[in-house]
Amino acid sequence: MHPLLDTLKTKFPEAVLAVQEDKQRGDLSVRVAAPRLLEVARFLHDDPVAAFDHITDICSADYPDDQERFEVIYHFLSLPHGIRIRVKARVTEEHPVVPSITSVWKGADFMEREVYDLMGIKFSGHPDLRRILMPEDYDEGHPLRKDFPAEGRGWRSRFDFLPRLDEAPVAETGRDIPEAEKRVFRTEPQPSSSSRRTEELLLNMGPQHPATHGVLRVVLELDGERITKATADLGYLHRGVEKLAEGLAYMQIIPHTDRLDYVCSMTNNYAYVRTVEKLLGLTIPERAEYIRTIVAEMQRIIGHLFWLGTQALDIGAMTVFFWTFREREVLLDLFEKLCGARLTLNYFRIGGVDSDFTPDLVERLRAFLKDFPAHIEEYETLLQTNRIWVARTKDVAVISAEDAINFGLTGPVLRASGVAYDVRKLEPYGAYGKVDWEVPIGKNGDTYDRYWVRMEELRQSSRIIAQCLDQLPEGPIVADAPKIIPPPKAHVMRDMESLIHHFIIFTQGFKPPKGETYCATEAPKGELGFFIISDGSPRPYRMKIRAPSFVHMGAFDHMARGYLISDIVTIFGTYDIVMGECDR
Amino acid sequence: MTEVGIKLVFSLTQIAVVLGIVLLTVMILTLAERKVLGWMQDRMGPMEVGPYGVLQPIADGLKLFFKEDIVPAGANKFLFSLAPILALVPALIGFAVIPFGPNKTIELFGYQFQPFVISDINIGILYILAFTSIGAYGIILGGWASNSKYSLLGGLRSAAQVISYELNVGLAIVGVLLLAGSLSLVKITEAQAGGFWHWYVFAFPFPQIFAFVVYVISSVAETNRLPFDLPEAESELVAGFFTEYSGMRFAFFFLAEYANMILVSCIAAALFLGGWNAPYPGTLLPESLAWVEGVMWFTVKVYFFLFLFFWLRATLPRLRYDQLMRFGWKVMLPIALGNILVTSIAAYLFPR
Repeated sequence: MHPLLDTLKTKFPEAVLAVQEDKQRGDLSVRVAAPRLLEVARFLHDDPVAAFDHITDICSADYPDDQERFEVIYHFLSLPHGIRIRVKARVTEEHPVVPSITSVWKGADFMEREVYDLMGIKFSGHPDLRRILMPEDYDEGHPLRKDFPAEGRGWRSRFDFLPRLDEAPVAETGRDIPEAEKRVFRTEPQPSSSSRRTEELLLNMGPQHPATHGVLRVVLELDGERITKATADLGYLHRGVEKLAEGLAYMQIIPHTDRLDYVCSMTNNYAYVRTVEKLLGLTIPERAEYIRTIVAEMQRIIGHLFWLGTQALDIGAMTVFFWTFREREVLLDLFEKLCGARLTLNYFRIGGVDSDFTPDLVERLRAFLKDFPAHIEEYETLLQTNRIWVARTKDVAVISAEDAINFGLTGPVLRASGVAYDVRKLEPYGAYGKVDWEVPIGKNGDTYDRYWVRMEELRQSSRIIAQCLDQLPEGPIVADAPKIIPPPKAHVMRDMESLIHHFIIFTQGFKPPKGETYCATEAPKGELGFFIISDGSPRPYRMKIRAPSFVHMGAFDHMARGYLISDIVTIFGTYDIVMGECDR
Repeated sequence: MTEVGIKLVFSLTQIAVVLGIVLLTVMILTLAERKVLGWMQDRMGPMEVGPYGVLQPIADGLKLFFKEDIVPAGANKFLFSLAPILALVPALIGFAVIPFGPNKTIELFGYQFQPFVISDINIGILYILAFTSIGAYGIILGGWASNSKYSLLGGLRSAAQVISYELNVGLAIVGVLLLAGSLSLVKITEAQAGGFWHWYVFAFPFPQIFAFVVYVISSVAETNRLPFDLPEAESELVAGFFTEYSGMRFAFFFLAEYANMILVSCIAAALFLGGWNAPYPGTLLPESLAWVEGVMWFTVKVYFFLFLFFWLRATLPRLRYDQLMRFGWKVMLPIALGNILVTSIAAYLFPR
């Protein structure tokens, strides 16, 4: 057994109910008594033996038949030791209360709110336990509970809080919003000595705003142009992917993952199929691994180009946007050639990929890589050498390494603060372990460093692709696992065995073993993780998506306070936020 | 006809022609801007309306004309309607003192007229400065009267920005005035005749190159163009002070912005680059056609500045509010003041 689990057992004989090590998948999990969760959590965070300084995710599961119905599942990562742990706590339906761990990990704030919103588990000691993804006044219950029907609750007109379509909208002119509703967006009022009454201006940014990158709403409390509090209001694009997934066979979920981070759907596919493969214990052929790595890195380049263009546009540099989209177009054309789609690609398959690279594609990709470094320099001449750009990004939205880890930030946002955490290095997958590349690290954790890290990543990605193309082995592109992977159509028409497998897979779906696993993948925006609980049926019992955009929004207020309105748009940009992923 | 009557008819004709040319230039500018930006950004710009999209401004104008005119609930209707007019009128009125061509007189019905300037008043430049300040009221009132927080923030930013940068415009001009000894734009331009080394940018005894740079930067700020377009910063304040405006009222603000661009370009050309004077002494064309050459040179100089506006927009990101203020007061103002000091000493030591 893992020494850490032993330590936990001896240290907390009563609080720790059970420990488990999944040798095959490399997962550690601990079951603790819910009331004593906080002390175990504090030990895990503080003690140098454990040092789980990074909060990955908080998830919940519903087992309606069990006496202790709800399970809260925490995922922590120890950056010094490079190990992950899963902590689980059970609560009953009558008393669904778990102590909040926001005092240990600040990033737990939004994650606990999500669990409360979707599962109805309360967190005692949470500073601001409100709904986060569902509307504030949603009184239909908690959607991720198993007794909440996945088919929905009937017609639009059944919901009182939705405006009716058959009636003229009520004209709301000149209505002042009551002070009580505004309170959540305000800071604590400062006792002022002067008799003059001052009031901070509340500015509502979004959900329709040119710079919020989708349907994000932020309520800013402003003192002049300076931000005193920024409250993010999420959920405008919530469509219940996790709930949907519970009603779909494993294969059918892949197209839904495309629509999470719709700018980078390849990596979403990748993250999902990797988790299912980890659950199944499936190894995939080497050529498929290389192809996956190449397309994932192409997607990273696309994602970063998209980010660079929009961030520059937010700050007012128009031209960069069009230039980056010019290069993005080349790669999108290659994707189109590869799988017929440009945006929602649905290219990955469980056990491999959908189609093979053609020599023409490889050639065009090589040609792109040849020109690409010159293009990166072109962007840099417009930005890095521009004093206005540097002044707008340096020392803006600074986050220290400790805070960034504590908030659970990942990806370029974390690396810019000087933390060398990259899933591709820590837990190498695909072909990342076989090629030569570096993780760029920033120093100050400001917007400029995040910009610099991403620009370097563009270079590293093209390096990875070039090496992968050189090493690309021959062979099959899907694994040989007839019970899981549908046979080729030609075989189905000829031999009986293939026909049976085809029939079974497409009518019932394959059945992974009972179990649960978390698998992290380095998406362009950060660590994209999937947590799947399988009950042995062809559908996931529970699928949790650890979306980097959502976790990053948790640190928004922390990063925005004290800066100016103009900096808000740079902070949106610097997160590289995509609401499809954030709201799921 | 009486003398007054003839003069009135002549002046009205002049005004109509100048306004026509300015509005036509605005139309050309909207298209030119999109085309120039398009070329700089590796794309085509408008291509749909007419061959190569040349009729795009007409389509835009028609669209704006037929749009619904919306006054937001809770807006101050009077000020909301007044603001676009207050923005546009000062921008157009400034053209009254701009000399578009050589200062010669023609005789009509026995009276003397100056064909290339509507009114050569001896306080020309002061008159322009005074009226452009009124234009700021249009922006501030528009922002305030809209009853929208974004508009209000845009208006506030604009107030601060216009005050800071108008000061620099005024101070940058002082150097030229010291050398020319006149406030009349016609006289200032005339003093720069005889080759580009007589233009005040390069002229002896003290080249106004610093003043020129300060003037150009400040005038970009005064016209709310990138990188100083904070009052209408799209990504922050949606559209700033004209967020709530639509249809013709929006078009007025739009016209005002472009008319202002033309106006500041005309002033820059007249004060620093010798106005209608060619870069070489005298004229190439015969005496009777010399005015063609003068008008052409003036147009070329103005369009050079207008191109500069587009170029800046394609290249530079937007400044932040505090950086803008710091730049205006701590960098531009000292340069302008220093320029005045050195110029006055030079003008005293080398009197003309």
